Order: sequence, then structure tokens, then C-alpha cells
Amino acid sequence: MRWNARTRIALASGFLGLIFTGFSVRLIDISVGRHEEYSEIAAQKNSFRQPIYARRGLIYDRNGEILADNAPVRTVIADGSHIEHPRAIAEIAAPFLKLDVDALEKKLTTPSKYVVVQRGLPAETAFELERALGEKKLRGINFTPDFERVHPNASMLCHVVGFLDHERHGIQGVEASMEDYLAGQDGFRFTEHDRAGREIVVYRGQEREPRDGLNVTLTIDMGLQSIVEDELDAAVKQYKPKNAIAILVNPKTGEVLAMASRPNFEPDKIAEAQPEQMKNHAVIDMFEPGSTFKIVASSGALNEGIVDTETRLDCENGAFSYGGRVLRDTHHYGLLTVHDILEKSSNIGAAKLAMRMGDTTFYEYVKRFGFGERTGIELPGEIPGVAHPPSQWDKVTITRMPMGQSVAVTPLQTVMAMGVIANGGKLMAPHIIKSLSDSSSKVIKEFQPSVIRQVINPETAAIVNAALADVVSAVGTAPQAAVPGYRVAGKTGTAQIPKPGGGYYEMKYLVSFCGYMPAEDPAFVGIVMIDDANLPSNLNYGGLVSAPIFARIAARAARYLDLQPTMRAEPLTEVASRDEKKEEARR
Amino acid sequence: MNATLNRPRTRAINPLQLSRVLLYLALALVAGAAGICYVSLKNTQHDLGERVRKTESEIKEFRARNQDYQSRIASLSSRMTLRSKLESGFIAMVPVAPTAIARLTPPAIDNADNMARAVAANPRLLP
Repeated sequence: MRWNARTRIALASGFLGLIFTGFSVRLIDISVGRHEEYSEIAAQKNSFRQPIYARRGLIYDRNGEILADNAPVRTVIADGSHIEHPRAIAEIAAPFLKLDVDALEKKLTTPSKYVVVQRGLPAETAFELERALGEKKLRGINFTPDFERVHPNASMLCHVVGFLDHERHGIQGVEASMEDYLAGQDGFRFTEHDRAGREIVVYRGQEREPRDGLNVTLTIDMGLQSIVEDELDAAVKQYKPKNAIAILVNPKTGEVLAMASRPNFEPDKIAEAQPEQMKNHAVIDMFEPGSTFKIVASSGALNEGIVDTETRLDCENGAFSYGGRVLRDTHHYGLLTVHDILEKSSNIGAAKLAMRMGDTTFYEYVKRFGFGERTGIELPGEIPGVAHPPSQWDKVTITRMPMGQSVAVTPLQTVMAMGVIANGGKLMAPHIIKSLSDSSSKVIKEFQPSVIRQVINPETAAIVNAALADVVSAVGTAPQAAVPGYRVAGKTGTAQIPKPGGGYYEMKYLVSFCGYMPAEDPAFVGIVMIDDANLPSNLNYGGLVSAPIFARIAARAARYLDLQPTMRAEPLTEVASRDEKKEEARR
Repeated sequence: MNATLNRPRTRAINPLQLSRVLLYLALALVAGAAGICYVSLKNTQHDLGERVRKTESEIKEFRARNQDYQSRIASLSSRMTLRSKLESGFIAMVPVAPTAIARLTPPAIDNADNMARAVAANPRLLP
């Protein structure tokens, strides 16, 4: 080979060609072969997954009154890698954050990229602080958007609305039961930041829009809720009971219009609340209902045709021996019709009705009225109560259960059972959620009333209704439940409180009144339950304690709902003398 | 005499191919212009990105302020606040005179006993 110029040029070109081919191979290897690996490294260094928080849905009452709202706040984060002048930042930020300058400076002097300086800083304050830092060109303080749940009505309706935990998850009330709808879904965006920590918008990567939570509208009417809470507060002040519960329901739709329980708490000051205050006794606690349960035996016996309106049962002059035990009435009664048994609240009469029905049939009606099973209301922690089947009964259960002993029910079950009489024999499913809507107020889902079953026929319901209306008369057990201008129907209950180990407490009673108004065409059915009122036992009766509270609630509710009077508004004394005359004539 | 010296002198001179020069010049200009355009577009893109970021930040701030004000309005107009204002005498309620109430469905009086009956219970008013 001749070592001439052409050869040298060819060798040099070949050598350079090889070098560049090597570079090319390496380049292709990096950019194509190891694309994933290097992309990941680059993303880790410069790319951030920035969360975009979804807005939690609000909770409204049926008239659009806000019950749970979001107040925007900011979480203040320090990025130590961008902080150059911690002292200067601390001096500016300390007054906004209400922190000591030295302590804040110490916190800011950190190599860490993520130090939470303060949570829950009001948005307005955060904007001012951000502006103040921007003017001095100080870097390293970031603000993450967040929210605080606020309850404009403080403790009102606290058990129904519920509250959130520190991670903003609902843990009680509607906040918990509707968590999936209220929470929404957070979005995200991959971003790259410059040396100063600012986002480089052109390098934005994958993005997913957040899906805001749905707003929840309750069936609760805050006008009625306010009335119920007022009266319950007054009752608690007067009687100092262990617990007090009141519920109002629309008997035709099963919509819960008001629900209150005492003791209560303020959801905005949840750290100060005691566990006992957080219990919604209306659905998570069970009681022996007492005489309000007599509607089951009366309705069942009439519905089965075992007795009719004329049938008279011997009430044994107030003492009935059965199964080795003596069952007593508060007064000595002889022959009573079903109407009289309810009106006078005869324990012996109710027991005899159930005995005529037989264990199985009576138990079937207990179940048909909804006892012993959850109502399915959209509130967490609801219990089914206890209604043992006949196989677990002892000899006297058939005489005890009809008067509301040996059975445990929730206040909501009781009010829904009373709703059966008020609603022509239909048991409605109670519900507290009216609708779900998106942030533009477009209704996504509306909850419709649903009939669980026809418990008794409408004729039987009308007979029981007439008897319950006479309970609220001078000759019944609840004259104090009367509301001038309206016909009220209902049933009192005075139950002994069972001891955990068996037997009953002496002098401790759970007194209740469950009724509806107007009796001819009920607009609401309600219950007032006072547990262990601070009263002497001769004054601690459902008719004396709960009935007047119900009457006050019903009278105010009638004005609020603009219910038209169904009777001439007579003074109660006149009503009493007229009722007594009617009773005389009937005798 | 050397043959090289006898060659015509003009053959030793590299002729300037003007058309080619112009072509390369034009190509260079196009490439340069494209580069400048690219840089300019990139700068504009960054500038727009910065404006997008600032606008987004402003929108976020407005939204947060709006939400904050809505929350405050809800709190200030809540039942509990109004009640406390009523109790403190800051506001007062004037009862509506019965003569000022216009009823869309006046109470129906039953001729039989001269008593008012609920609309739903009054057969005369049922559809």
C-alpha cells in the first residue's frame, strides 16, 4: 500500500467516522435503548407530582340552608433547599403565623425540602404573607391549599351532620355515611420547577382534573330542627335527664324533618367533646319502649280479626296473675275495648290482646312494625334493637312484650312504627338524604320515598288512630299533648330502665310520647324521649313530662308549617270538660 | 521551458461560483432565521407559560377568597348567629299582623260544626 495523501485522508476519515459512529451508537442507546431509565431519573430530579385537591361537597338542609361548609386555608411548607435567608423570612412571617421569630428561624434552618410550618392558616393571611415574601424576593416558603370544615349552626344538628377526622375523612353522621359522594377525587399534574422553585409551565406533564365532591341535601328542615332543639334544651334545663331525644318525620314519605339528641357537641370544637356527647341516641341506642309499644298488639289483634271494636277484654281489676307473676295496671279496670286499652294504657289489656294473638302472630307483627331490624337510614352505626323470637321467650314474655318490656327499640324505630298508624298502615323507610347535586347545583340523584310494607290495613289504622286521638284527651293518658286548634294522636310510654345484670332500677324511668298531628291528615309524626329525668317517680310519666314537650313542639311546628287548624281553638279547660262529658255518655 | 509555466494563467484561478455562494448564504440565512424563530417562539412560550402560571395563581386566589367570603356569609347569616344577635338586641323581630297575612288556601269551615278542617281532610276541597 502506498502511503500517499489519499491513503492518509482515507485513514483519517475512517477514524473520524468510527468515532462519530461510536457517538451515534451511544446516543441512540441513551435516547432510545435506555429512554425509560433516563426519563425516570430526569423526572425524579425535576418533575413533581402536584396534587390538585377536590372540593368537598357541602351539606344543605331541604331549604338550601348550609349545614357544613368549607373554609379555605393554607398549609405553610418550608423548602430548606431554597431558603437562603431564614432570619429574614422568619422576621416577616412570624407576625402572620403568630409564632416566635427565633423559633421560626430554627424551623426554617433545615436541609429538608418539606417541613410543615403551620396548618390551617386562613387563606387571606396566606395571601398577604405570600405577597410580603414576594416583595422581598425571599424564596423557600410554599403554600398548599387545604380546607377546614365549618358548621355555621354550631351544635345544631351535630349528630346528623357529623364531623371529619384530621385527614378530612367523615367519621360520624352524614359526613361518614356519604363520604364517597362528599369527598370527590383529587386530581394531579406533573410539573417541572426552575432553580427558584417556580413551575415551568411549558414542561407540564400528565394532568388529571379533580372531581369535586357532590353536595348533599338533607330532608331536615332547619326551621323545625330549631324548634325541636329549643324545646329539647328547655327540657334538659328543667329535668336534667341523662339523655333526651326528639325526632320529627313526615309519615307519608319517611323523610326525617328533625332529629336531635342530648347531650350534644360542637363539631367545630370536636377536641373538647366527650364520647358520650357524640352519640346519636336516636339511632345507636336502644331502650325498652314502654307503653308506646301497645300499638303493636292492638293493631295486630284488630288486623287479624281476633278482636273487633266491640270486643271487651277483662282487665282483672288491675292485677293479673300469669306464669307465676302478677301483672298490674296503674288503675283498676274491668272490661275494656281495644280503644279503651290504648286510651287508658292498660298493661293487662295489651297482654291479653297478645295472648289472644298467640306468640307467633304477635311476634310477626313486632317484626312487621319494623322492630328488631335496622331501618336503613343513611346514618352510621344504626342498631337493629332486640326483639327475640318466641323460641327464646320465657313464660311471661307474651305478657311483658306487648307493654314494651323484654324488647329493645331505637327511638327512630318507634317513630316509624307510629308512622304506620298515621300513614294508613304503611311502614315507610326513613331517609335523611333528599338529593345529591354537583357544584353547579344540578341534581344528580334524588332519593324517593319507599314503602317497606303494608303492616295493617287502612281500616285497622283508622280504628287505632281514633283510639290514639282519644289518648290526647282529658280521659286519656296524655291530655297535656293537646294543641289548641288541632287534633293530636299519640301514645305515652313510661318504662323502667333495665339494669345491665337483670332487673330494673328503682325510681329511674324512660318517659316518652310518640304522636302525630293533625290526626285527620298527619303532617308529622314525632317522638320525645326523656331518659332518667331528675323528678320524683310520681311525676315522672310520659304524659306529664314528654307529652307537654311534644305539644310545644307540635304547636310551634304547626305555625311554622302553616298547618290549618282542624278544630276550633278552644281553651283546654273547655276541651277537658267536653271530653269528660263524652266519656260519661259512653259509660 | 517548463510545461507548467506554459499553461494559461487563468486556469490557476479558482472561479467564484456566485450562484452556489448565494445558495449557501440563503440556506444559512434560512437556518439562522429558523433558529432565531425557534428561540423566539421558545421565549414566547416561556413568557406565556409564566403568564398562565400567574393567571392561574390569581384565579386560585380569587376562588379561595370567594369561597372564604361565602363561608363567612354563611356563618354570619346562620340561624345561630342571627339568634345571638336577636338575643343581644342587635336586631329585632316585628310580629306580622294577622291582617297582613294573605293565605293562598283559606281555612275551610265545615258547616256542620262550624269548625275549620284541614284541606286534605275536607272532602269539599279534594280534587
